Amino acid sequence: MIRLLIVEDDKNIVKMLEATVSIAGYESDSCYDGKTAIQKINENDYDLVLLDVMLPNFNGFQVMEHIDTEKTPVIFLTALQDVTDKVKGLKLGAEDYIVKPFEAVELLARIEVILRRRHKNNNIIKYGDITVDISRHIIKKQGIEIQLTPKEFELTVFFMQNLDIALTRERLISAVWGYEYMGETRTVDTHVQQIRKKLDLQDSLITVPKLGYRLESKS
Amino acid sequence: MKLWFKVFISALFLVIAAINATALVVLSNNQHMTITRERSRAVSSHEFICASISNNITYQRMKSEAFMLSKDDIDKVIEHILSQQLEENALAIISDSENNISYYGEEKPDIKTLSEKITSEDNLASIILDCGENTYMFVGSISSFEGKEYKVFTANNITEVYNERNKELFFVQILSVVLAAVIAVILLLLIKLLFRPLGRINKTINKIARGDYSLRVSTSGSEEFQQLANNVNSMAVSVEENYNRIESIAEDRKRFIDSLSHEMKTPLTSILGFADILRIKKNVTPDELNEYSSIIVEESKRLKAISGKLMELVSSGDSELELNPVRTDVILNELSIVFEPMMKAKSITLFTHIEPLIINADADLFKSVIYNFVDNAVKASFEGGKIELTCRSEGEYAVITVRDYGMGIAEEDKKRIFEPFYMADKVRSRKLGGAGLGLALCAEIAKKHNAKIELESELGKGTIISICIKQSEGKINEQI
Repeated sequence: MIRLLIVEDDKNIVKMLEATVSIAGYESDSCYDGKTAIQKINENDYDLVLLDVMLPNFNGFQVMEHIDTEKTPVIFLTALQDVTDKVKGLKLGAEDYIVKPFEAVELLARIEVILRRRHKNNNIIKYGDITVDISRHIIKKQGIEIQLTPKEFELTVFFMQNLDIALTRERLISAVWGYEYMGETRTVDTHVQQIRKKLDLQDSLITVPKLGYRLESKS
Repeated sequence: MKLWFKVFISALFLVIAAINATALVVLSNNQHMTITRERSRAVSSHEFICASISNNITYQRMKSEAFMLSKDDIDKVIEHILSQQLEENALAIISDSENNISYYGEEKPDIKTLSEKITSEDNLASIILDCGENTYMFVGSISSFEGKEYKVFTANNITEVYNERNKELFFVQILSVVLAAVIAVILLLLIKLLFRPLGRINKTINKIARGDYSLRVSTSGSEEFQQLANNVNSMAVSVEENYNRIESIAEDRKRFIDSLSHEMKTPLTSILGFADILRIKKNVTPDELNEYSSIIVEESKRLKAISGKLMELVSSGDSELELNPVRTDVILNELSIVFEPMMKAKSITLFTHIEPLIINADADLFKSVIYNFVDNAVKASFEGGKIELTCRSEGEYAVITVRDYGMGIAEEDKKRIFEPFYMADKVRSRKLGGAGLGLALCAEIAKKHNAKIELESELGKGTIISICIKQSEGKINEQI
């Protein structure tokens, strides 16, 4: 089970973060100030820390100076647009930063990337009779390898990592094609059609009207 | 050209000129005296020779017992006398009435020039003439020997006088060159020494100009330099003050923007996050739906409060206010109606003591100040507490005071409490719907009214906050 620590002084944001990470099935612990955060991080073995910059008793930067960022990866949350602050955070050993306000899925994607980079996430994803080996880029259905284009593969993985979450076409584009991709959202639709056909997902990869697509978990 | 060099060159030039001028005046004066002395010597030797000739002629006449000496005898006497009496290097020229000229001595100057210069009227006239390599002082006279007229010229060699003068002139030139060199060295050292403070001041100014605003010039040296240093220092002081002021304005602005972005983004983060969760999550339980949407509403309200206050702050900071005479009792009584429900909610008793005074104010903004004061007092008060609202006249000022007996403000918070977004107790303030902008707004409005806000507070005992504003000169009766 993946365990995260949420450090943020605004209680409503803490609630929101807890709700967000619980969607992806992560467990979370939380605290509201820097001092407690340092204590908790050094005493527990968290897989990742979401760290606000503006905190009472030690700000986020000071917290990072007191913890082992090699052991515990940190994503810091900031309301500051200032580039120097971002650079400062990354220099202090943060894995990534996310500027408030942000969408839930964006945060989940960032967490996912870091956990995978740190090999804390499984490289083998199972979904019903489908098995995906992310590192070897192989997808099998009932033990038979299915040929997917690289984009189709990435899209499938992204859906499987965000089970039961409605993903907008824009979100899918930025996750799979990158932020710079200026193509039409119809590209997403054709790829989804292909995935449905090749992996026989007509019933579980459903269209959410006016929003996008959602891969429903097999119960 | 550098100033020190200009001063050096002009001083040196003047000194050398003065030395030379003095030397020349002294020399020429000396020369004049020597010439005069030579002249009187020449005149007396001339007279002596003439007298000797005349005496000898008389003696010879008496000796020969002749009635008159012949011309030949006279010439003999003259020759005899001259050969005896004429000094070495001296000249003599005798010309008789028939213009027979006889020369004695080494040189034979042109008699015509002499005759022209020395005429019979000007007896014993003298003239200086160059003959060959020598210079002579000629004295001429017309003497009568045995009834015959003779022109007698005698001359002393005064070449030595001129040689002497030339030597002295040469000596003076050498001396002036040596003196000039010595003076140049001394002057150079002196000027460098005197100008040293200027270099130091320059260096310091340079450093100040490069941004070291706290530097000061040392005020040593001559009076002008001290003055300059003092002026530079007072300039540096005002530059530093201005720089610090601008820097602190920039810092305030940065802090304001940082706080603003933090304060705006915090509710936005919750709103966006929860809204997104509601949108993308497959199964949202009724409890979750309830909780999430409540938070969204709550945070939206907070955002609304901030933006409202912010708009007030911006608009009060921007425009010039139109100040009108308003009655304090009217304003405060109007506000009391607004306060009532706030007081009731916490069972707070409001005591008022209001003197009707007239002030020049923008009624709406001024109400907003008092509202904020009372709002803060209510938030700080405990259940069942009391708040006092008074308005009294103090000299030419109207003082409106709000006093509560609530939690008070800690010493370290007092200074910063007027800063935008500063909240002594963030969690509590937000719970009570505060945006941290109320007092910043009050301070801004007070500034616009030329009014002063005074704060007295003790932790745990309560707070007294007042606004002092100048009373308008009008009378109550004349106003409505």
